[in-house]
Amino acid sequence: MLNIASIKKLQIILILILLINSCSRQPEQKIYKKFRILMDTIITITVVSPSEKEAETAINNAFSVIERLDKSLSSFSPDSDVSKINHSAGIDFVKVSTDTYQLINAAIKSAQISDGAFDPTIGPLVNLWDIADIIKPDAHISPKLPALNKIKEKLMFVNYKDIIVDDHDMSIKLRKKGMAIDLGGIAKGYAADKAVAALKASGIKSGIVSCAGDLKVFGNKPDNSNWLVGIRAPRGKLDDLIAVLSLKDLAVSTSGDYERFFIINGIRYHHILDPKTGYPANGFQSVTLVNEQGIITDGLDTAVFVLGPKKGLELVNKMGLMAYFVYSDGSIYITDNLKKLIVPNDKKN
Amino acid sequence: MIKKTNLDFLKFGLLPQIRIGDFLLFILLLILSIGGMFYVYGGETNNGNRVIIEVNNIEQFNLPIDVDKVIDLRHLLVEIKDKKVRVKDADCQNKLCVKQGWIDRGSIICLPNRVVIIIKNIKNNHAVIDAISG
Repeated sequence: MLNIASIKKLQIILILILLINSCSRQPEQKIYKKFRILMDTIITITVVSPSEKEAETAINNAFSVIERLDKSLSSFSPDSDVSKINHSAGIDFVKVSTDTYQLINAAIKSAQISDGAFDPTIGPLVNLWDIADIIKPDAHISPKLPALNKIKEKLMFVNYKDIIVDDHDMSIKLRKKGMAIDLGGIAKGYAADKAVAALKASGIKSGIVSCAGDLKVFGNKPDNSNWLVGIRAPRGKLDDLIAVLSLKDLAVSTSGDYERFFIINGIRYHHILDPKTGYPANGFQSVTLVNEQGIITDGLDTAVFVLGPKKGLELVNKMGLMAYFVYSDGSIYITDNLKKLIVPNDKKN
Repeated sequence: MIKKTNLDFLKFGLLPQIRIGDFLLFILLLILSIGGMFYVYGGETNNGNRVIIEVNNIEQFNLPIDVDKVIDLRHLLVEIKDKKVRVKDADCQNKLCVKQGWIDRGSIICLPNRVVIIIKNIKNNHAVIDAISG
């Protein structure tokens, strides 16, 4: 039978168990992840949060920021800033959103730094090659090379120096009729920067915004380790990696000849066009850049790809970027400042 | 007086003086402790991974991965078999999603058809690789 003392002892033990239980149930930091198709690509947002509700609200805020950008920049929507600028080419200035204004200024800067290897006025050539449409599911047409005279004709309209920016009222004009801006080579890095800022404003301390090949990580994982970011193997399957980087508070962008391409007579024609020749640039299979800002990595990875191995490396060194190159013969070059961020093979799993 | 009474209880070791309040408190603590243990250490059971198929950013299917099934999405044919998922066929040119083959974690994305197939791991959502650039 029980007596008062043993009951009291038991009560003390039970209270202790309760106390232990209450200590163990800390609000657990978990990883939440959501996908959405925006900007003509797949956007993945990953956040670390103690609450699913907080995570969801923050992720939705960040998606709204990207959605807003998409509306300003999409060349498919006639009401977008980019469509209006292109339709008014050679005619008039177009007042644009702060996002478009900032992005166009950043694009011009990337063009200046790379001496036109990246050029936001590449639109007419992109439209001529139409690689994105050729590989669409409903296309069912054989890929065809554009005629040389057509390429030469379009090259006349490709020159970033013909973008006129009116800083006073944030308006843009393209000097010649027939010009067209295409911000596809820089917009995703900018979107990653903006979405990370939105997540931080929602109180999120760590996470990843990934816009296809362009991503930005911030903070640490729940176990305090760095985020692990894989670099895709250019000639492997979709999930084959050539390297894994251990990152915190950095942006990564990769441009590869395997993203959008077709092959004729054994020659690969991909979507990274050289604004000077009008043809796909060769020299690399992929270029990966790492830096604090997505707008820099995204704008310049295309430029480095187009510049080729020698001049590309010069630009990387000049800008103090971290880089992972896969040359067209499959060989690899890694800048010294990136080597320390590469996870050794045996630790990947 | 009180001291003496307490000593008496110890001496006799019986329960004539247990109050109903003590008993109820004991029961309450017992329930809270055991319930608390379940709350803290339980609840981690694996409900099985789910296959989520989104079309145009809208979830269309949420299926258990351990029930074999073929789903016809018009442009894509998705197959779930032996706790793995693949795109069996697609009507696009590059067929990148088909080439990706069987997956048991992560995702398959068909951008031209705006289809995202995600394997959601209920128990462990910490992937080995957190993101891929390329």
